[in-house]
Amino acid sequence: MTATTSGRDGGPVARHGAAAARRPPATAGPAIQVTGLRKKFGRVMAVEDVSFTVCYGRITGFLGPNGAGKTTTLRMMVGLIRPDAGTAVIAGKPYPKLADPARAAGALLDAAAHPGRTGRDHLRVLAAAAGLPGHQADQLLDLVGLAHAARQRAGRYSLGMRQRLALAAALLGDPDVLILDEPANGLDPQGIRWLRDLLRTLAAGGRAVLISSHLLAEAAQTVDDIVVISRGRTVAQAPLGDLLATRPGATLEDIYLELTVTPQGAPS
Amino acid sequence: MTRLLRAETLQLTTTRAYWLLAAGTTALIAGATAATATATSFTPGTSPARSVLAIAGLAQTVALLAGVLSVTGEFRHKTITPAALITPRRTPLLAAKLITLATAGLVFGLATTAIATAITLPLLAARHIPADLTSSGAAAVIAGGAIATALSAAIGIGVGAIIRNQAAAIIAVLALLYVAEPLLGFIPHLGTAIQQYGLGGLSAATTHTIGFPASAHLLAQPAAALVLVGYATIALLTGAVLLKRRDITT
Repeated sequence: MTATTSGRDGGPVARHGAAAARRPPATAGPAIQVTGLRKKFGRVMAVEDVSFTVCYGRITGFLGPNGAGKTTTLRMMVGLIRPDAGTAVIAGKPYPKLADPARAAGALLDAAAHPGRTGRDHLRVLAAAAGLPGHQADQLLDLVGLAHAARQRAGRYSLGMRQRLALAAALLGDPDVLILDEPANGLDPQGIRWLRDLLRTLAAGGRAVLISSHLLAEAAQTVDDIVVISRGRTVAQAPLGDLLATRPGATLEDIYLELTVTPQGAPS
Repeated sequence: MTRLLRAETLQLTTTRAYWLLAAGTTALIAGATAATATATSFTPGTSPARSVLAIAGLAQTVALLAGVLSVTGEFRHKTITPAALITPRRTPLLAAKLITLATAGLVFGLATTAIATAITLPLLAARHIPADLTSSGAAAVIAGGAIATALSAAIGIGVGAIIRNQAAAIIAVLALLYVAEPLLGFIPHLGTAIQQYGLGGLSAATTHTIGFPASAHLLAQPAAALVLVGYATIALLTGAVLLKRRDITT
């Protein structure tokens, strides 16, 4: 176990700390490559045609209105939902085929925890399943600012605390790729600033970070690249700077609203 | 698989609900067997000890519900998402639950039936009622209790994977055990089959206690255990296929 993690020791705190060293990506090529994903639930077309690329060392914002298909796309990327068509590969392979998925990619999709179990035990269960030592749980609780509530039952956590716990779970295997669905949900302004700094540090260390959001002002401050989807289709993918340069004087919000505008009379 | 078994064991031991359920059930079984052995008059022709020990069958119902809870809880509390992210192959996930819960059920069934036996025999002796249970007979009841409880947990895991909605799964199990089987058991012809092959009859037969009604013709102990194994296998295989196929949207 330890032999395969050479160069990554020192525990999550040391690794994610201010002095986190840059490291080369585990594989050449993009961190995430999504090609033509499509999913219908019954008669509802949730995702029609979504394609984009996420690079190592950068934070990619995945933007779109409610119901645009963001969450379905993210869940298809990690094998929770089976796509009707298209592929998603992470570090060159479909997520379920990765040799050690928890080390290759971490995802925050549900701020979920059993209400009767403590935050610490929640992480210890997941760490055991990933073959990681239990003390990782304590280090991660420290990292996400939950050390004080480690032995409180998760049922008493606020949404922000559950979100931090879920982020700790995503970081368990110290993955090269992070996929975060609305990670700022429930966080207060201090929490949002903290999250932004953490994600910046992780990306600066060579990791790929994909975050879905509809907080545009926040995204504009955090992300390097932008992917916009609307009604199940990719409508834009570009570095943030390039996107802003297409319309001098316009904000990300202006451009986003234009890209995701719904036709007259169509339900949004 | 070792990782998953460690995770499941930790999950089982760190969830208060399971401990409360086990402690409450043990207390209930001990209290009810003590009261019954102390106060009841027994139908001639039935073994008094076996009549009282049928009460310990409650452990099986609880194990069945615990199995259901362990799977449906993952969906209800959405912990299936991080679990399936760390272990994308879902069949091993279910297998680890099966092994952990069935082992816990075995221990739980053994303990509760042994406690019930230890309470029943002296109380009957004190009332000078012949227990009509040899020591090898008592051993068979206790072993049967352990096996039936482990198999009940296994069936619960399968049912939970089939009916992922927690409330629906619990209602389905309770309705089957306490409404459908007792009522259908009174229908001529069909009733005999229900008494023999329903979960209630199989439970009584596997533990070699008295069924409902007491006149029911039960299967032999090994045959009943085998039928339970069959039910568990069908439930688990169906559950595994569905778990693999269905999307986890929570």
